[in-house]
Amino acid sequence: MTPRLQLTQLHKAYGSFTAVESTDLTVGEGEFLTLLGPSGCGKTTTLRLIGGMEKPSSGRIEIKGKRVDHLPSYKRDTATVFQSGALFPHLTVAENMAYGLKMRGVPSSEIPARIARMLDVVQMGRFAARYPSEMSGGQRQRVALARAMVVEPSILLFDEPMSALDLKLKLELRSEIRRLHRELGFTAVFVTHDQSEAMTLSDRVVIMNHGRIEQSGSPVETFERPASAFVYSFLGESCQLAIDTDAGRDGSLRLANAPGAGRHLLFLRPASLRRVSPGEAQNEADARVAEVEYLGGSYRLHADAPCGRLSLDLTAPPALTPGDAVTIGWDSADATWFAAP
Amino acid sequence: MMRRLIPAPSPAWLVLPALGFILLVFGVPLFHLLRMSFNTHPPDGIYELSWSLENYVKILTDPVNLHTIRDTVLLSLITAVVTVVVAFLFAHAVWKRKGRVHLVLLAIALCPMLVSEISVIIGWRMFFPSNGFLSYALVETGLVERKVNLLGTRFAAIVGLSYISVSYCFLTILSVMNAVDRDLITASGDLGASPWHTFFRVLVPLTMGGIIGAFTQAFVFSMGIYAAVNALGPDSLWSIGYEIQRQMLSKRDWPLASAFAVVLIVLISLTVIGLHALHSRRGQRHD
Repeated sequence: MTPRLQLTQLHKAYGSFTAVESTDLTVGEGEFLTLLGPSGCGKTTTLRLIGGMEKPSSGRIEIKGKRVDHLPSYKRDTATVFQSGALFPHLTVAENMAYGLKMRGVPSSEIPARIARMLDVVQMGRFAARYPSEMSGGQRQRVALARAMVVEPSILLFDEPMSALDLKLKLELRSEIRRLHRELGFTAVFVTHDQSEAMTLSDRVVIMNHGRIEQSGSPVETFERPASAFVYSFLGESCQLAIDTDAGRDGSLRLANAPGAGRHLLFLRPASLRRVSPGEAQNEADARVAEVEYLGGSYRLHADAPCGRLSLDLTAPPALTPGDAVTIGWDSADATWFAAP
Repeated sequence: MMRRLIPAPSPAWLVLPALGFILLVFGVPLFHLLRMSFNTHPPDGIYELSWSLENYVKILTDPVNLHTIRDTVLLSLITAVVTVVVAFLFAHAVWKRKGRVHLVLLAIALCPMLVSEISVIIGWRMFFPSNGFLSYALVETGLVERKVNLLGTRFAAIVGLSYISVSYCFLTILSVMNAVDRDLITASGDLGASPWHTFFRVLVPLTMGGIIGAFTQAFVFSMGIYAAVNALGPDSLWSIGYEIQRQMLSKRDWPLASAFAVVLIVLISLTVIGLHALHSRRGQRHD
């Protein structure tokens, strides 16, 4: 079966700056794919290339098997939910939604019914006659979502649609998008720098850095089996120890499965670390307390080991002050090793 | 806490100096003008104090005067339309571009502001006649066979008037355009609208405030200017401005000239008020 979207060796450079570097990517029918990465990683440029707002320097973009990279935005069957919503301020909600339908040549007899149906889906039916200035940010973003969905594009593009909303609205809209994807089964490419959005929404997460794809896989896969040091440190909280052949010779670091020669990075999640008495755990590091933070409900202990800082959460106040000696332990299965760059 | 001995003045009082200045510099002469328009004109003098409507009757019943008013309004309307279209297209070109091209275009658009009205007129007087630049250029390029004279035509008058107000209109429109969220233009294309549709359905409606502002500016300018119309347009084209000048300086009929000026002010005010009302009715929902 032909994929819904296929990018082949897609490349975009601005002068000497490479925004997207020879990227290959396939999005299946009905798949919810997230492009995740720090700002400047090329995720937004990739989205804009798919939508036709930018022209690629080289490479191919195919939608449903048809090559579209030479087509301007208005001739591509994509629709975008913008960060700002980008609702037309001079048009009402219903007129905003009718705009795309009219431009795509949908018969005017069908338009009102399609708008009404979609407004019901996003629970904005009462707002059809409102102007964007008469609504809250969250409501506007729902309308933006409805405006993009109502044209039933081959691919729905999301350009960080929730980054301007406060946390409560963000969570609300997030579960709304998840519900809509379940009910309507659209194909989506979603750009975000927020990993919890990526984890909760996606069928597949693509993590980008410096214009390249670092890893592509299900949320669980990328989080639990990160392919690179970048992915590990980008997803979730992590502690990083730089370990060379000499590390632990003084007995402060006791590793069950030390790697061979050369420099390595040892990554650990705070959740897999615990405070132990020496000799109790498979792997241990002696450290000195740097700081204890109260996180509301739990305490976070930061301790400096010889090769780096370790952080872990404790439920009870630890009765430690900066400078005190602690031993921190972990299981070998929770340790992830990467060769140091 | 310290109590104020003297209560703080309301901010409204702060406009008093400006208001006083305006009253003195504009209000007093305007009042004087209004009063003068009710005086009569004796055959052997300039004016005689009285309270008469005869000047207004003369203006509004004499076919020649009515013709002058109609011509002036028509000429100003056409000029305003032409100017707004040119200014809008140029503003759009500047708005779309970035960096050096943007700056160069901006500088070009503001050039007409550097030249005084008299220089503009002299410039166009050298451009339009049969031995002028335009005529030679047309003959040289083979577009026409014989020399053409465009000086003394309505076309020349409109070009001259447009040139005088186009930079102001450009700035008005550009400032409104700069406030338009560019994501809206992107969104329009993304939803399937061609650049043509985007221009007319998104950009023009969103800059309507600037368009109306610029139209008003060009219209008011054109209504008041007399030298450019007189020097570039046909002899048969009498503008109100020209008529005021003629009555005042040649005929020494100050009361009639004042009445003409009052009619001009009323016409301009009505147009401005009308356009403003039109815009605020359109704009009140989404501003």
